[in-house]
Amino acid sequence: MTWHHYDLSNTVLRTNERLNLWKSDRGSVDIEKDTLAVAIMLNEKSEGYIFRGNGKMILDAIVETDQGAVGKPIEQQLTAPFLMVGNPEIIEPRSFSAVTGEQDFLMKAQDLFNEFFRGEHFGSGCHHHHEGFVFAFKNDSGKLDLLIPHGSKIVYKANHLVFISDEDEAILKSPEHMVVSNHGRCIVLK
Amino acid sequence: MSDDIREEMKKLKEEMASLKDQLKEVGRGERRHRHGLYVDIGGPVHDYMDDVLQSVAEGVHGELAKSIFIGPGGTRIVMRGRQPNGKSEEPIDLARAAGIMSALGHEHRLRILNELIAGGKYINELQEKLSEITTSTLSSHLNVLEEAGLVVQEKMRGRYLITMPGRTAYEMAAKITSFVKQGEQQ
Repeated sequence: MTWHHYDLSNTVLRTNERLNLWKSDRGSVDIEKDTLAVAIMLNEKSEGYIFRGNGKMILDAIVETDQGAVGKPIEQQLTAPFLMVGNPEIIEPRSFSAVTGEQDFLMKAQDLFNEFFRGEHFGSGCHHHHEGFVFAFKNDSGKLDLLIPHGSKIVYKANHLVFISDEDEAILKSPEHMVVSNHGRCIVLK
Repeated sequence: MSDDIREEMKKLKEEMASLKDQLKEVGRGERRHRHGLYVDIGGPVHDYMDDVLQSVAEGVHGELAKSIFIGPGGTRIVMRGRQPNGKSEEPIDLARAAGIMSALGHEHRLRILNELIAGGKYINELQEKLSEITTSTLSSHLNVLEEAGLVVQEKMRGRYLITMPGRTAYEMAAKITSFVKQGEQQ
C-alpha cells in the first residue's frame, strides 16, 4: 500500500470535443465539448480531473438470475461538478485553457476535492493509489456516489443502491431487493 | 353357623380387595387424563393416526398449490407475506394489475416473454423468432412489456431481459391456461 498526497491545480481547461472517459459493456461516462476541467495533481503530474459541463453516466445495474433479471439501468445527466481519478492523459491533448467562468468552477471543484480526498472517503489528504478509475458524483442528498470500474469489475455505491459486478458474478442491494448471483444461480431477499 | 359366617367374611374380603384394585386402576386413568396422556380416540390408534396424517397432508398440499408455480425452468417457491388472518399484507393495486394484465394480453407479447425466458436477446434475435411481425411492431410490443416492468433493456448492450415479475407473470399465464384446459377436458 502506497500513500500519496494530492493537490488541485489552479489551471482550468475547456475540452474541445466530446470525450468518452470510461466505457465497458456495463456502462460509460461521457463529457460533451466545452466541459470545464481542472487537474488533480500528484507530484506535479495530473492523476485525474474534476469536470463541470454536460456529461452522462450510464450503468446497467442489472443482475441476471435464473428467476429473471433484477435491477435497472441507471442513466444520470452530469451537470454538477464530478471527479475522476485515473486516465488523465485523455484530457490535455483535447482541451485548451479556459478564459471565462473558471473562478466559480474552481471554488466548487475545490469543495468537491476536499470532500473526496479529505472527507470520509480517504481522509487526511491521502489516497490508496490503485490502477483503474474512481468517479465521484454528488447526489441529491449532498453525498458522493462512487463508481469504481477496474477491468471487468465494477463497484457502484449510490444513496440507496450498491452494485458490485464481475462478469457472471454480481451483488445488488437496493431498497426493494438484495440479490447475490453467481453464474445465474442466485439468492434473492425481498 | 360360625363356618358360614367365616365363609361369608372371606368372600367379602375378596370383594373388597377386588374393589380396591379397580379403584386404583380408575385413579391411574384419571391421572393420565389430567396430564394429557389419555385420549379417547373412539377407535384403534392406527386409524386415528391415519386420519391425522391425511388431514395434515391435505393442508400442506393446499398451501403448496397456492405457492408453487411449475414452469419450463423447473419448480420455484414463491414466498408471500400473510397476516395471521390469512389476508394479503397489501391490497392489490387494481389499476396497476389491469395494466400488467393488459401487457400480457397479446399472443406476440407472450411469445416474446417465452423467448426471453431462455436468456437475454437482442432485438434482431427476437425478430428472427417472430418473423411474421415487423420490427416496428416488435419494438412497440417490447415498449409495452418494458413499461409494465416485465422486461428490461440494457442501455449499453441493448439486450432485452425478462424481469423477475415478467417471469412470474408468464408462468401465471401458463398456469391459468393449464387450469382452463383441464376444466374443459372434464
